[in-house]
Amino acid sequence: MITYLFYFFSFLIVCSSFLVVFSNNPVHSVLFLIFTFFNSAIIFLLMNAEFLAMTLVIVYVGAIAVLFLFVVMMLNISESVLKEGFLKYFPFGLILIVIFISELFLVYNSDTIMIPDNIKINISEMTNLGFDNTKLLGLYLYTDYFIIFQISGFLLLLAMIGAIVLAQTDLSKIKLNSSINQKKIRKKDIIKLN
Amino acid sequence: MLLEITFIILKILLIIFPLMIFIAYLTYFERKVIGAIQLRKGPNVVGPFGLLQPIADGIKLLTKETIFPQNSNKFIFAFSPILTFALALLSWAVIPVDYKLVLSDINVGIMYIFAISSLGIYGIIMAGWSSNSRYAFLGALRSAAQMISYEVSIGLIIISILLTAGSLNLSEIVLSQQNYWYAIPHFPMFVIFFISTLAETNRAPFDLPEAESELVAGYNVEYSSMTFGLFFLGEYGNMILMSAMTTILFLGGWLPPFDNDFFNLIPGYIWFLLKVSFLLFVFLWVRATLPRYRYDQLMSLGWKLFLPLSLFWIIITSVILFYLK
Repeated sequence: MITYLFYFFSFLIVCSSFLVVFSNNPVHSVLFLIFTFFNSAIIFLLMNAEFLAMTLVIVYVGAIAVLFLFVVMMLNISESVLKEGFLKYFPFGLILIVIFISELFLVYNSDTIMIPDNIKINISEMTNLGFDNTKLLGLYLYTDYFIIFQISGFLLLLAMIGAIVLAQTDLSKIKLNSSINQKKIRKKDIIKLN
Repeated sequence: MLLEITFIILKILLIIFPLMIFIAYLTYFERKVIGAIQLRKGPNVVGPFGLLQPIADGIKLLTKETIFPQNSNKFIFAFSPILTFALALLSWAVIPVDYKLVLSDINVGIMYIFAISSLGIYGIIMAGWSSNSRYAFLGALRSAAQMISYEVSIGLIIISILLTAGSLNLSEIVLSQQNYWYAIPHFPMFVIFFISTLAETNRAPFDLPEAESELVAGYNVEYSSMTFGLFFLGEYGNMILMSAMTTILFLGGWLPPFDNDFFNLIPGYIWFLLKVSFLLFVFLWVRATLPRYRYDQLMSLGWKLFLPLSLFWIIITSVILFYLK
């Protein structure tokens, strides 16, 4: 049963990711991308990784894809402009594809990548003891993979600060309403009877 | 196998039918409550005390013509109200109404609800975009920005509750409140959570997406008949869901207020229903009392007040829990 479901949902993932690339309307592309994320969450569910599935939906579908959709709707990209650059960017895309595929091969051919030397937690022992995988994930992240976890946290912080710096403009040039100042205004300051 | 599936479908129907009746009578309740607050009578013509009013409204909506605007994206236009309504029902799969009275008692229940409610934005933003109308699009953009902003503080508040309960399972969160409801130690967060749910469900005083004075009706301007009806039902379904979530997280779910024999006589689902109804009454009370927020006030309230406060509260909660351990 689970195998058939897996094939069904992975078929949907492949189809919708093709449609992300080939659909003419950019908004449709984003909607198909959301559908792809959603189906990947279901694949996680089939593998009993319920925490990862929910995080995928909350983070990617609930937050990131909404911002994508926002940007794409606001930009109003015309189709002809999109098609123009295809040949120009194609070699670059090809290089990216080659890099990704070779990375995938590297990861699948070796068992040693990204695993710290002294793992203290045995995953099968813990699942036999009845830990649910949320707890296991937490234990892993805060013990054996602590450094990697911290580094990725700092990367996110860096990205956030970078985004704030990029978005910051000179506030003195913008007319801003401060609700505190507005509350301070009294009736007799504005309305005068002569 | 087949028997199991029919059994599950039967259980789903047992959840959905009472919920639909609850939603229908919530609209009646709203009109009665607001009528009483404004010293009017409210609906009192159709049936005794106007009790058949929601059914009459439903028939009226069903028999009207569904209009698709020209140049609208037909599929997405029809799909978004269905999505909104389906998502409002979907979360009820994990809500425990009483001890063991829940469709599926999954380990990550609270994350499931949070994930489903974060999908609710899509129904609105797709409706606004596919209508091909300025008013609808502006309403949808406002609504999406508002829901994302307040979802952040809701998520952080949920984290501080999870830390106290030590579980992601909704039934276990309720059972961990046997000694005291979390509304007592987490009282500031209870207030912020309630205000955030008002914003999350696009209710007054945060009903900017459908501010009729500026945007006609926001994202659902172009909708008519049952497509509009589904948005309407979805909104009220979300109100009930958010009240149920507040009940579970802060008001002890199905648990009676005091653990004595008299209170224990009343079954748990009645307590649950009472608490949810009380919160819904506050929803309507707020709507009848407060004027609408301005958009920049809404944003600064969410990002500059609620977000830092709830973040600060997580730190306080975890420090206290660490020292109590």
